[in-house]
Amino acid sequence: MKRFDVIVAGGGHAGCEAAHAAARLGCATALVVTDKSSIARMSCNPAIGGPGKSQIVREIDALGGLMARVTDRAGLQFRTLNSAKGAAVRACRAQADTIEYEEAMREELAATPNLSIIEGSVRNILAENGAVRGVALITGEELSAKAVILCTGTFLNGLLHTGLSQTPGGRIGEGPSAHLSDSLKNLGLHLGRLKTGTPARLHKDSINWDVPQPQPGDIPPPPMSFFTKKIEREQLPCHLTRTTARTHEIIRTGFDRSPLFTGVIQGVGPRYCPSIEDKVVRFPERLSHHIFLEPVSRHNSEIYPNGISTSLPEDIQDAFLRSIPGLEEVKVIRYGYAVEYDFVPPTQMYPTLESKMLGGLYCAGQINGTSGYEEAAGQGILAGINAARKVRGEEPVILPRAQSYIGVMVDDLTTLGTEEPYRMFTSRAEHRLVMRQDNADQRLCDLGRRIGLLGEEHYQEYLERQGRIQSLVKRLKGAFLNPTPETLTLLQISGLPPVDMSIGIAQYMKRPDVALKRDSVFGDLAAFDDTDIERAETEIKYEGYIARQNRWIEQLGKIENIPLEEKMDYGGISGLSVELQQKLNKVRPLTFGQASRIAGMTPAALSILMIHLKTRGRNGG
Amino acid sequence: MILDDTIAAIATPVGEGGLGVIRVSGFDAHRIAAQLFCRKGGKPGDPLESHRLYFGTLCGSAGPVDEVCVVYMQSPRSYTRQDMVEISCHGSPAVLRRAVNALLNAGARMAEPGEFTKRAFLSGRIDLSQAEGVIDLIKARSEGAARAAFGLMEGGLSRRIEAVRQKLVWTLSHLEASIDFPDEEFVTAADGELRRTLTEAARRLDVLIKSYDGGKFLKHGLSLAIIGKPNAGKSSLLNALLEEERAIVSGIPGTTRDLIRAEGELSGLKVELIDTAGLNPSPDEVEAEGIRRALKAAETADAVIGLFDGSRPWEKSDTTVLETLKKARLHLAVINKADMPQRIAWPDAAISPVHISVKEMRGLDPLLKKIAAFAHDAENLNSEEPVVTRLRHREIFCRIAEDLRRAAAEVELGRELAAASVWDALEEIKRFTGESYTEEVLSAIFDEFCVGK
Repeated sequence: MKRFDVIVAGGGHAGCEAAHAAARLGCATALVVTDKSSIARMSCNPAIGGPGKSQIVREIDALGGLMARVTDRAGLQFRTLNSAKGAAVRACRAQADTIEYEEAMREELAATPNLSIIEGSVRNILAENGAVRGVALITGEELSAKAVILCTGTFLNGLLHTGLSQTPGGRIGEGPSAHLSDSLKNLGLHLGRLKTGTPARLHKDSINWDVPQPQPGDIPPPPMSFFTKKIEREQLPCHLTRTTARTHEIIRTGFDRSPLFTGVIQGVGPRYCPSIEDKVVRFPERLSHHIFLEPVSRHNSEIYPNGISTSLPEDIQDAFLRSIPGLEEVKVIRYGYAVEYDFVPPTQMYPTLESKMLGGLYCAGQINGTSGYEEAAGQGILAGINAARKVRGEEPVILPRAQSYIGVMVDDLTTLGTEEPYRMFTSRAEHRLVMRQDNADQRLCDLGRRIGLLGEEHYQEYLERQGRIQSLVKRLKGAFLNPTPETLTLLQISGLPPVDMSIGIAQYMKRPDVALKRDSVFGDLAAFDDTDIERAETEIKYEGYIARQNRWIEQLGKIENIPLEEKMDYGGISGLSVELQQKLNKVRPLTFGQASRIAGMTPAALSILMIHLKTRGRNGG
Repeated sequence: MILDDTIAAIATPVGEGGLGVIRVSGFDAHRIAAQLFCRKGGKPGDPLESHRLYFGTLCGSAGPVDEVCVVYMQSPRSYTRQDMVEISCHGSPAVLRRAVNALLNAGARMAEPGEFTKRAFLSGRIDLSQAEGVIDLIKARSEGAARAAFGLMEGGLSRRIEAVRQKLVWTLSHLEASIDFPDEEFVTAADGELRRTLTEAARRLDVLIKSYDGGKFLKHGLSLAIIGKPNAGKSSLLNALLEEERAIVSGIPGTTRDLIRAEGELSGLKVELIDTAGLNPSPDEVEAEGIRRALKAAETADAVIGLFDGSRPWEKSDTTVLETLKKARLHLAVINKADMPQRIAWPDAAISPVHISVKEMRGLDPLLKKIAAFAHDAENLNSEEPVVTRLRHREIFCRIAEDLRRAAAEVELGRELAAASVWDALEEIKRFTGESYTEEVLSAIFDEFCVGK
């Protein structure tokens, strides 16, 4: 029997980060994938980032993970979304060349010490005395490990739907993982069912490119990783077109063969990413929905039409696609489909992503009910870190809500669970103004270095940047503007508003119409790159807000971090409703803060819990 | 403290009374009460039907205590949402003490101050502001205070705040949607509309904040100084308003030399009336001290009535009265002696005086209405408009209004900033309703109770 410290099942975005993290932290790690050539596949849209998601990608980067770096190597278009809004909600979004992305990720994994990639399919989790001891493959071969991380994506009992025809599978052309669900059930884990979907892929040469409107990337392209100096390659445009009234008519004629509307699909789909047939039903007043035509790779002819995922029958897909301006003669490479899959409702996990039922078993990604590459990768890195730390006998890492989006996501998942595929939004983060994509390094590089995942070289780079930003902020805070003729002229030349009295530069910068510019009144900025300047500007402009949020975080911290015993039995607490007793026993919150966020938790219940804790303390437990 | 153990306490004031009521609440309330109670024609321990009044005898270990009426209210249909029993005894302190002791011996625990209402809050039956309304209602010393407290308890103020909260949730959904879905084509509300909604919500809070000045008087009462020249009829007015001969009245100018304070209820408002020495332009030594005190009283009182003698021409001392009067934020000019030929020439068009005759008891009703209006806009006095009576609420509302005005200004500056301010406002609302509270705030509130309420 082959022996490992950590086994990662599944080589998607969660699995890659998990395997890389565990191996980098010194654990002999096996990444078990059905097919080496499908590692890091982008099963749906060819893009990384966006609001709420780019923050996660940057956090992975700051911890020492891969997604941002690989995206920068493989990107074919980079944009900053919300650039007209404030820094807290700005988000990078990159179109990735999916073929290059897979290649770059394979290279990163190949260069990772302690990591073996094994082709195979996990059939069973092997357990002994309440702890994991390895996995058995379909072939019967057994691999031993002290920790197992499941990153099965949509493969657990996966079922593909196009029209009323169904094919067992986790992704088009790939079979499902049929036995693992039973193994999990036998271990006592409870499973649920979700659904997601993807649109048809179109042939580039069959599209009339004169019709849709081009959407170029930003110049210069904003990199995803803190450690990418510059992106040199030429960018490709996306294009915008839209559905027509005729499209919607055709879609309606397919409803009688829609697996969604005929009740064939039982799993719950994402509300924020509805299929086109869903949109037509839910928003009948909307006569048109827009579609982004996104290039899939420089090396093939596929186009991904974003906004029209569907599980309608093939003939309907053909017909409605051809009613879209620019797609009149379109050739479909692969039809859209929906996929239903099992997931493990994540309240069964601790905030370390280790299962409560079985020590050493971790889950990350869609198996925990999330959707999105970034969400998956964020969980993957955390599960990888914690699995490695468990094997090494170290304290687990739990990311607080006030420190990272990954922390918010994992807390939401493990405390509230989810009824539909969970996607990150910036509005889920109550500390959004202090948790920006631009300062993810400041929030997490120290942790990344301390646990040993972030390399020394990158860490030094971070410290240097931090030093530059702080010195610039300090300098700006100490400087003044006086309404001398020279200053006023300079302000006018730089397109900045005039001053009528002496004012601190930091104060001046807080005005909405003032930006920190080179070659103006802000002194010599030659020592600082554009990122430094932007960061310093954000720190000064947001100062008041950040102080306000920090005060709040501090206030919350007082009750947030009161520890609760993992093994506490909530069943015996009088005054708590039976429903809440059961919820608490299910979630087993680690802190009072986590308990306070359980759905249905009332002030009364919290108060009762607090009293219970105090009396227990007094009576010696 | 466990939250559903059984508590008992006397709910009515100490002293002799026709009735005295004991309340019991908690897990064992029914068992304990039923065990001690023997209904007419029944036996101790017979189960009680919920929400039904029984007559019978309450027995302790040392024999019968009293003839009582007992009602059992099964959870959740009770004040605390727990099982409750109310026992009406004869209102003798000794009887009530014996009855409570019997309950304690049978397993109940003496309730802590405010514990019944605290349980009502913790069970989610009422929110924190409603619990505060209960305290205020119990403590209300005038009709107006009682009405304001009832409004608070019954949820009038909570509903007003809930309406604001819904506006904020709407605003936030638009702010957040435009941040999280920049690529979607749905149209979120324009900046102008968001700004208007926020400003309008802030204005609603301003109305509530403003009602505090009046609300404060409703709750704590209003001090009202009467000033005027000698013999204008100040003491007569005080007596007439209180409907008792409180101050000595004579025809001799300068009868009142020191301040006379008297409490009464005027138009549902608790009022402390202060009669003062007349403002004699050429006083003797004692009068001079009296006048100094009168002016001081006018300065510190919540409101001032300036009383003028309509039967005499305007004099220099009237000017002093008018000037003093105008310094007070709440003031009323009153011309007395409307029963005599009028010789006064009113000099100030900005102030319209009320004409009365204390002697003939004329014009007093309009005067009372104006006094009541100090505490409340006259039109609102009987309306459903909620009044803020508590400093805690006023402070929360001020912070919310500030958050919302900032948010309105921030909509164009950056929607994420406006959103942060609206989130802050929502947190404040949670503090108001008690959805978010610290033990500290709670104990501050529940410490105001006395046992049994």
